[in-house]
Amino acid sequence: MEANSLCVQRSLSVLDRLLLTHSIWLQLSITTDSALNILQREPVGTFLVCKCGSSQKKVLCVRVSVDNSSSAVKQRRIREEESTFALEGSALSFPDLCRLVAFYCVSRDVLPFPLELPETIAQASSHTQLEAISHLGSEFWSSQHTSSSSTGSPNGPPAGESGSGSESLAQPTPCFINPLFLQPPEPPQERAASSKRTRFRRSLRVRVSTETSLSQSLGSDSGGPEGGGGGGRDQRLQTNHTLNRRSGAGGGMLKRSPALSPTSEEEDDYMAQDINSSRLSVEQEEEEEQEEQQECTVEEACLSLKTTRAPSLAALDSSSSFSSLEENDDDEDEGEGLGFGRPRPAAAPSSTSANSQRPSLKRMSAAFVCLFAPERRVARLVQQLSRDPRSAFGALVQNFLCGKSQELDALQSLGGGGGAEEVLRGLRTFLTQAKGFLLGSGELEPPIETLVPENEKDLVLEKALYGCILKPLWVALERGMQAAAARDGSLARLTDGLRACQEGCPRQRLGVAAGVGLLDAVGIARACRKLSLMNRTHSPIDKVLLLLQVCKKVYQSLGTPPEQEVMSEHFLPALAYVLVRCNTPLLLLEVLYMMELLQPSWLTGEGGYYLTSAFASLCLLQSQPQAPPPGGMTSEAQEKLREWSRRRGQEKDTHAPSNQNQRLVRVLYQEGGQSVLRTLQWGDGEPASSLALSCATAFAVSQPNCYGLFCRAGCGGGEMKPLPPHALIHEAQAHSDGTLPSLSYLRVDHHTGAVRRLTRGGAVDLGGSVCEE
Amino acid sequence: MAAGGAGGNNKTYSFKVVLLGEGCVGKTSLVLRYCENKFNDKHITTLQASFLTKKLNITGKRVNLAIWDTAGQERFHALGPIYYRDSNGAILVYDITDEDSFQKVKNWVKELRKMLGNEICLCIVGNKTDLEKERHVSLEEAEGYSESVGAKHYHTSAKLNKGIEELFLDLCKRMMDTAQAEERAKGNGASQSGNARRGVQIVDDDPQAATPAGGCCSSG
Repeated sequence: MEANSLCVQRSLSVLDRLLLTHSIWLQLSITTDSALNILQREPVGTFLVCKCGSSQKKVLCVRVSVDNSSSAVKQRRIREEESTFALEGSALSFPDLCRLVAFYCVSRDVLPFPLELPETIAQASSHTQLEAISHLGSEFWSSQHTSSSSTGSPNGPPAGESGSGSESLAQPTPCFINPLFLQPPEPPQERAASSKRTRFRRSLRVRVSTETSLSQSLGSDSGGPEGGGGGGRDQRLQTNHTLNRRSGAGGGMLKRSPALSPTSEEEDDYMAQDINSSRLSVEQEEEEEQEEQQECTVEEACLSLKTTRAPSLAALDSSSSFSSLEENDDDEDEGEGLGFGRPRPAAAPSSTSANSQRPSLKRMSAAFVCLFAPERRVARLVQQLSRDPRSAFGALVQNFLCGKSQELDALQSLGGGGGAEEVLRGLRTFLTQAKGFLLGSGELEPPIETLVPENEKDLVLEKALYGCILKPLWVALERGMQAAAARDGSLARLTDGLRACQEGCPRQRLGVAAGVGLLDAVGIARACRKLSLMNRTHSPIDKVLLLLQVCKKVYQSLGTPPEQEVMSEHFLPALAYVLVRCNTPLLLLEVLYMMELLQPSWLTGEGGYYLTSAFASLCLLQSQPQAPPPGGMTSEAQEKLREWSRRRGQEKDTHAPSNQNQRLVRVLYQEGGQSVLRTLQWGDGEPASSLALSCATAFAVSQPNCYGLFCRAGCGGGEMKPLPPHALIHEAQAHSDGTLPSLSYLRVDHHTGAVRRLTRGGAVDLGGSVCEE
Repeated sequence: MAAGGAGGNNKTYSFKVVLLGEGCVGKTSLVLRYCENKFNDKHITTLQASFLTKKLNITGKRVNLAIWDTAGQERFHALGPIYYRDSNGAILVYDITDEDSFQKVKNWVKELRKMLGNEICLCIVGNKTDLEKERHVSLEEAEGYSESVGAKHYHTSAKLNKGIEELFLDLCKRMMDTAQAEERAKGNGASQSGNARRGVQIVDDDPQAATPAGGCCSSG
């Protein structure tokens, strides 16, 4: 890069540029063929991330040579495993996609040379400019490389045509990590009231604090107080200064898998690796050696942390419940039985001894792990979005929550026919819809595809949605369910059944075979604690995990029965026995809550199996008094079950189409130096004029009749044309290729005055002058 | 979940299979043998013995099996529907040396057909063929009966590990056929009649099922 432009570019790291312009380089809706077409018009080094049509895997496409053959573009698959991203053939993996790309912009590793950001992006000197560029989306690639304004700009080097650029780029670069992200603090940014941008800042801040705490946990000399509030960026940069050994953001996140080789069952340990790797990423071998010691302690601390806490339970809000869960899990999590993959920490037995010795370190890094885990990052982003009523998703969620809480009040006081189940059903449907909506709206910044591997996306989103939908409603929901269960008598039946069992000999009554081991008093007490913890979390998944822990203990207690056939014969009575001894009738509500709110796909899994067993036990206990042994289920319960299963079937059927019916459109609003991108909903057959009205509200313009909707004529590069008021929205966006269609909401007069060609350079200028004409 | 897209090859089938049968017919050994290749006359303690999963690749299609074991005692018979609802397949096991256990299978068949109709693939399995000498259920009778109710009959020995792979493989193929037929029916725009009761779950790289990272389906 030219020396004179360095001072401007310094303020924005490569990672920042990538984060802000993911809509340009991340093109998951196009195929590798289209990517090839695009890249053939671009200088060597230009890249795209798209999806392979047949495997549906993400692929990095890079232009590698000047000639125009198809081999001029190289493709490399991106491996998504264990919450990390890696290029195929490389040993380096990254916590998210942006960091992966950022790294390969600096170092080539397995590539022939480092990636090159498109020139306009590399040259942009402010967030505003980058944002303006990002609004172009995929049209960026069909727009012109340069405009008259950009060639005239003081910092702009001559336009990068494919030929000239390639010479310098093609030189192989030694493979090590530059301290690229090491940069002086940038001058204060002007604050534009762009919601997108504020969200971005927040996301940056998350990163800031993690890095700061990282430095603290490493015992490095500085960091300063962790920045919760504003000025996050500056702080981050300072942090990078003090940690220059670690090569800053991108490098700091790196991990080198072979050296850290996780054991197969340690799926959740990527946190630990991050810490290790932050040092491993340092270039010099000897430094690695020096730090060997330090690494050990940190690793241990991290492992000990993980053994004491189920991350999913960390979602609990109050710190009190958090710590209590931590205590309880201390001794119970060894051995990992029930295999709930991701959400559970992998417990390394060797490290259990360490955890008692380092309570302070443990606590410190607990916060750090929470912030760092990709799951938590997504949860945070979704949460923020859901609280922002200006976003389409936020509006949807807030609306729903409002309506629901009234419904719940009603359920508690009077209760209608369907009662609790109806409410729960509504919630489940909404969870599913909201998930589809969130994915469809493209409002999550950065997109979830860059944060978690494809196969974890759904689970992570599901949990995030629990946080913003179930959490606010949960207390009222439980109260309402309790009232409903009291009204319909099921709670009383179970209470009676439990009492009857306790009075008689529970063992006999439940048909526990002789010689079958049961939980002892200590075990029962422990199981009770687990069951009572259920009502401390709103997450159906966490509740199931607690149930699974109890079931595991029941299995362990069974021992080796003398008879031939084992587990399934004895498990159910043994579980029922534990439930009787625990005597918690309210478990009925928890089971109902889980059965109704868990994702249908969970219900055929292990969680579903043991949930079913719990339900079966409760049925057994409810029917006990009337018909002792062969009673089984009441007809009422059978009916309920049938209805439930029918609903599930229906939900599966309606699930997919409802996503497709979503009508969302992205509208870009530009006015006086600010530009805002907003996702809006529209109804079937709605004309442009009514969407314009919603735009007026959404962007809070004072004179709606001075504004209008515009679309670009033809794909890319075309002129902006006003959308006739009667035009139907879906026709206007007919050409959009699977991505969310986008329109612009602009001043009518302004536009007719200065018709702009869509250019990359022009996009940069948007923030400045054009809108003020 | 990956958006379906061009993914004929990309599809993962998830099937639920319920195991029914009387107490001592060897249901559990059967699945243990299949999923973990373990057989022990004394039955070593295995966690999660009642719920096991198995991943298969059949003609290029990935299949995730979730196998639900049930308690066989008579007293729990009424709980059956809780377990077998939403099943794609049922394996009904009897002991060839025990006439009563075969009678029990007949009862299950009747109930399943009544509750789930023909959507569910039934397998009737005569276990313990290693005890051929003590056979009390005649082969002709068992096969004749199976055919009459639209079920397939198999012979297994969990002890000798015989016939088990075949049983599960065959069942999987049949369940896939059923699922594909259903898909076609839907694809043809046949206005979604029927089978809403037991929606076959076809997921693309479902997080729970496709990877051990996915939550609660992984087991060993």
